[in-house]
Amino acid sequence: MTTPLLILMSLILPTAWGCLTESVLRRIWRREEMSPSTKTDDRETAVDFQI
Amino acid sequence: MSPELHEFVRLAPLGFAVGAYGTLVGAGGGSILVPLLLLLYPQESPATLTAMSLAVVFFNAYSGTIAYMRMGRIDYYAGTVFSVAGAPGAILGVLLVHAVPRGLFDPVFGFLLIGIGGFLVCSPLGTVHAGDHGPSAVSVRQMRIGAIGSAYIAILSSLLGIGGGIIHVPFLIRVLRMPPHVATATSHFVLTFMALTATGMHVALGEFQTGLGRTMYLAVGVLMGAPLGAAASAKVGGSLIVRLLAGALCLVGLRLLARTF
Repeated sequence: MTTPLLILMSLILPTAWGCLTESVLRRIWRREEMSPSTKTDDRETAVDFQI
Repeated sequence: MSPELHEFVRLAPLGFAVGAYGTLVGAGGGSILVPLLLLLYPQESPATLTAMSLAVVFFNAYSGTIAYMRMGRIDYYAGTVFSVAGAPGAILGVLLVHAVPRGLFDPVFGFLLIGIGGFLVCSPLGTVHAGDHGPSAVSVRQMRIGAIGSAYIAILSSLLGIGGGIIHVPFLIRVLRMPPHVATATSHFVLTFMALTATGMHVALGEFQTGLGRTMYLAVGVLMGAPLGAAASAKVGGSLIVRLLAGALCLVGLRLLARTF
C-alpha cells in the first residue's frame, strides 16, 4: 500500500468509521445498564423502591 | 556479563521507572518511554522502537485496566465504542510508521513532546479532581465526536508509539465532559485494545524478530513499577510531579530537535 493512499485513508477513514461504529453499537448496546455514570440513577431507584 | 544480562540490567530498571512514574502522573508510559528509546537506540528504525513501546504500553494498560475494573470506574459502553472506533486507526498508524524515516520521526516527536510538555505545564492532569465536571451524561452527539476523535488519536498514538493516554484523557475530560476518574479508567480500557491491535500488527509485520527480548525486559520492569506508582499516586500531590514531567519532556524534545538540526 502506498504512503499517499495511507495518508488519505488516515484522513478520511476515522470520521466515517467513528460514525458507523457509534451508530451500530448504540443500537446493540443497552447503555443504561452498563455505564457507571448511571449507577447513581440505579441507587436512586433502589432508594425510591425502599421508600 | 553476557549481552542479554547487560540489556536486562539496563532496560528493566528503565521499565520500572517508566511504569511507576507513568502510573503516578496518570499520563501513561509511552510518552516517556519512546523518547528514552530514541536516545538509547539511535540506529533503530521508528517501527522497531514504536513496536517495543506499544507492547510495553499494552502490559501497563492491561494491569491498570484490571485495577480499574475492580474499582468499577470504567464506562464500558464508551470504552467499547472508542476501542472499536480506534482499531483501524491503530493498524493504519503501524502501516504509516514504516513509511516514516528516522530523520523525520525524531523532529516530529521532538515538537510533539514540547507541545505535550507545554500543555501539561498549563493544565497538569494530576491536578484535576473527580467531580469537577459533574456526572457523565454523554449525549449521542458527544459519543459520536468521541468515536471519531478516538479513531484519529489511535492513528497518532500508534504512529508515534505513545499509546495515547496523554492525549485521550484530556480529550475525554474536556470535550466529552467525562468525570476525570471515569475518563482515566475508560482511557486505560481503550488503550489496552488499541495497543494490543497495534502490537498484533507489528508482530504480523515481523517487527519483533529483533526486539522481543528488549520488550520483555522493559515489560518486567513496567509490571513491577506500575503498582508502586498507583500506590504512590494516592499519597503524592500531582501538580508538581506533572510539571516536572512536563519539564523533562520539553528537555528531551529539545534534545531530539538539537540532534536533528
